Amino acid sequence: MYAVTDTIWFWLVMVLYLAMLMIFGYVSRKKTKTITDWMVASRGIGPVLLALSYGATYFSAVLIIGSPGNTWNLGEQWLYITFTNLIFGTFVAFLMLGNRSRRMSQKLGAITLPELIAERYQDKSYIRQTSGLILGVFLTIYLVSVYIGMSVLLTVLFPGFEFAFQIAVILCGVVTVSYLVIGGSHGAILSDVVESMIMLVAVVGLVIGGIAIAGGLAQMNANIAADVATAPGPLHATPELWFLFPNTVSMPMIGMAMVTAFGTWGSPQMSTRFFTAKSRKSIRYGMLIACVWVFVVSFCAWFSGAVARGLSPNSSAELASWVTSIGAPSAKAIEYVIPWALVNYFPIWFAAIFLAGVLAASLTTGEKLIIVASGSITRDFWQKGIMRHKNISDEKTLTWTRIFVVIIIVAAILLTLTRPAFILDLCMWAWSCLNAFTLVPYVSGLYWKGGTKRAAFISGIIALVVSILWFFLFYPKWTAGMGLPLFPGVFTATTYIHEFIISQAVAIPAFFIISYFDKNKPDKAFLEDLYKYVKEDTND
Amino acid sequence: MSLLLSMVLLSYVDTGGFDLSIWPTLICGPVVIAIVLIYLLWTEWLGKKK
Repeated sequence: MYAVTDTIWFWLVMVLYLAMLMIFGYVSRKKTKTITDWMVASRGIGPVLLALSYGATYFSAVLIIGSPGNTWNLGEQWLYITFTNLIFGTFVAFLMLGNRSRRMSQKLGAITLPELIAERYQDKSYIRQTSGLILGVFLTIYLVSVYIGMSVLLTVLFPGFEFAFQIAVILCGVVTVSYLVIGGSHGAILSDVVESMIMLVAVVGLVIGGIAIAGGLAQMNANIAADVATAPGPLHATPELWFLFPNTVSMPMIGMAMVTAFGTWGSPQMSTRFFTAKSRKSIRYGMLIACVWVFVVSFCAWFSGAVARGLSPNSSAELASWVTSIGAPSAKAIEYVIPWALVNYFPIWFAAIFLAGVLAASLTTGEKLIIVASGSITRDFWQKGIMRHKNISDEKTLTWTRIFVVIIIVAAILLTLTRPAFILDLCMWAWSCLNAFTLVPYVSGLYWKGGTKRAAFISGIIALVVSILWFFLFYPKWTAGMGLPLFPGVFTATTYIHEFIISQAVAIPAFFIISYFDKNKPDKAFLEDLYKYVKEDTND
Repeated sequence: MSLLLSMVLLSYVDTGGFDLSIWPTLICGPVVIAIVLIYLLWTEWLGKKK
């Protein structure tokens, strides 16, 4: 067993966190009687819980563990993702979408994003069940990428223990089922608060401690320059480019920045945060708290990759050697930069608390995905979709939603155990597909009365097909031997244009063009009444 | 767009050991937060009220 797990700190944090989750689930069950309580926390969340829940949903443990490797490998320009995360992913999202989403979902009685879009466009036939099914499938895939993020930590903590990964993934699934089935969104939001605090303290401590251990910022940069010049990598021949933007490998960063900023707008697990808000003030003040949190965590998380590389002038060689020693795949060394830095350079107590905290936080990272995925399938696809003529009760739907929580977690665990090779890319592809169907109709529907249901449906299908096809046709980092991509060589890992950008570039004009030519225009009286209600409390 | 241009320009300034990749981000964060705070002050307390 590795030194970190020999410390009492590690097990103390893990046990405390698990106990806390069970308590949250128990405490929340009294507040969880109806499907509305379960899905949107009774629409009673204040600004602090809203902001921290938004942050904890936005950034999973994947950000802390999987993302710094990009900064390490492709340069400090990855810090600029903080700009887009803060400005577009948080500030503009809260400002433009927050209160309107809250009001519109209240007026329409919508507790899921597919329900909001379907009710907004007055469609009872296609949008709801299609988007419900799409969300259920792709959120489960996204959940797989979150669980896989934990495997990196587990390989570090239990090297050589053959079944550590399998046992831990199953344990996580069991814990999540236990508190989620009972407590729903109420329990999830409470655990978000603790998770967000863990993430905040962890990344800030990592950056400040790392710079101090490296000997200051100037020494850190000197170490980075020396390592980039000697270690193999895309900027090996031109190490000075590592510090600059734009450089020869900026495309992946730009794609990531776009996805993680605008991808929040159409992500159901993010937009439903606004449905849970108690009032306009919750949204407004929550915006400030969320901006502060997102800025600090995003900056520190992306910067930690640079800090890790700056710990030694031979950091790449040390990383490769350590990854081999713990039995992790050397091709994936870049995903181990933070565990490497922690275990080899930080005090053991900090490493233990950090790794335990992030591992524990990983448990709760997937909970909103599970809530939204299960609700999408039971309420949108089933109750209000294909079975809408049977008048199935909300109580029965809540029961089935809880059952589907178990089904989704089991499905995600089984997929996770197959260990697909590329966490972050899988995560981003799933996010892109989610947004393909929802982003344009949702955002447009909050402001523009001219959109039609046919445009919402068709543009969504086109964008989804484009997102999936683009990934299979051109994505350059498929595992060898799979016969993919179908057109290799068109893009490299550093020139690939993200499928999110392409699908939205198709969805946006498609939506407006189809709306323009569609003769089946929306009901004006309905929209006048809806927008009047929405604007009454927006202070626009 | 101006923010993007300033990011690009600042990156190329020779800072004698301190790279400027981090400084635009570090400055931008508090600036955006200050804008949010001013916006809140104006809409919730000083300006148009509900």
